[in-house]
Amino acid sequence: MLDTLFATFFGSQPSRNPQPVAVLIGFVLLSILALNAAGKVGAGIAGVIIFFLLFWIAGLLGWLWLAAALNFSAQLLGGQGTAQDSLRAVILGVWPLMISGPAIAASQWPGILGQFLGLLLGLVVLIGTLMSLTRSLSQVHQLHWGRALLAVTLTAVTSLLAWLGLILWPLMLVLGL
Amino acid sequence: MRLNRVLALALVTLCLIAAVGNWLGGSMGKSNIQGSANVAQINIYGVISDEASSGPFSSGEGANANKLINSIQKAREDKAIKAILLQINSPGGTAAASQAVYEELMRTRKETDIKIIASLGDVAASGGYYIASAAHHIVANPSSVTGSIGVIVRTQNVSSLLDKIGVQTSTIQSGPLKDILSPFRETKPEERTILQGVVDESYQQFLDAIVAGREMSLEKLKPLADGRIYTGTQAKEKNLVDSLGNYYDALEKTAELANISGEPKVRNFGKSSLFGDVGPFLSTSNQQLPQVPPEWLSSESQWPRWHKIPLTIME
Repeated sequence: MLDTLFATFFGSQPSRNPQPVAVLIGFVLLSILALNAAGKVGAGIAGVIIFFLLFWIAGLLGWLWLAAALNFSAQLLGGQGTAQDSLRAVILGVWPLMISGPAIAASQWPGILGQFLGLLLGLVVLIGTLMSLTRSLSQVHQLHWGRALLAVTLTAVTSLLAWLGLILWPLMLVLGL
Repeated sequence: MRLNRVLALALVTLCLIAAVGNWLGGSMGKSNIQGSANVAQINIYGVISDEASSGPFSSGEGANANKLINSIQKAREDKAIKAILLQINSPGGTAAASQAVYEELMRTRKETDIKIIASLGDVAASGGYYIASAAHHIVANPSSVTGSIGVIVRTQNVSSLLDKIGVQTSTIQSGPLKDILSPFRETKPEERTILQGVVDESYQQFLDAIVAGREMSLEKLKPLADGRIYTGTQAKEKNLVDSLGNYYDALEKTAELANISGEPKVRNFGKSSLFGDVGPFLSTSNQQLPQVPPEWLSSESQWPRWHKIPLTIME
């Protein structure tokens, strides 16, 4: 399992039997994000549990949405993978978000070093997630890097447009009906 | 173990440890922010009682004694707190609730060096003054209404009215004194004696509390404690309050008594959190509500009720 985890993190080829690793990454990621959030509001153990449950629901919804949107974009750009492949690609592709734990911890160190490390690791999280998601998508859909990156960008734009639609549609219905 | 396995495990472990650190650091950071205040302000507004809060997202009406006690305990446990500033605007409340808050303040006085200062608002009478008497120093506005030191039991006899409208009442009781304070008949001499005993005992407890809190002789207090109310100015003349002034004067006095140099940092210890009663669940502090003695919960109507002058015991 650790070999698969390493291959997921740093390997250039698709990892074999990635389901257990996907579950592990999902669980660890949710735990890290819940702990980070609990730390921000100074919550106790009960707060961590509440955050974990909330993030589990939010994560599930986000995962489904992102996978659907990525799958749609990838298919548009000639992707070969299935929806199930896209679901797996998302969960394996967002692993760099785990580094948000060390990034936040480093940013709290006193002095310029803390600020620098926080910024650096923040960039690693941001760029790493983008790269990892792109790589993951390119592997499961057998897309070239450029196309996979375009699919990810298209998904990000679609997400923003979806937010706009979420506001405009009800407004249109309220005004028009 | 192969290097890549070690690297994978190390990365996951490092991220998890850092996140746990973020959580613990955040919690401690919050505690430090709380700890930076050196004056704990506790507001006592409305009727003092042990009545439950009206809902999970509201603190309920009036001053809940258990919440006040909890706030006092939290202030006492906070090492940075040098003084407690009680902001009182209350016509009184139940005897037991007022007494419970008073006792907690007196415990704080005995066990710690924390100075307690009471700032009286519009009114701090009866139970409100009972609590204020636990303070090292009481500041009142010249026109604040205070005093009302005394106990009263009031009953009505509505039997003649019921006779007129043809209503007959009957009582089945386990003992001859179970329907004491019944409004359907004249109070018996035996009952009068019992009620007088309750009033006297309650009154004596009230006097003893003021004597202990104000360090005042009983002989000097008793003539003042005939139930009358005083303005802040009158109360100052009678030594029932220590100085005249507003909230900011009280805050200044707090800083002076607690030897706080510079601007005192005040934190409201009784303030409800964003999530109302859910707040403590999300909080880092392991709060436990004080246990309410069962006798407080039973027969609420029999509590001596020092509410809305004059003080009454209602059936």
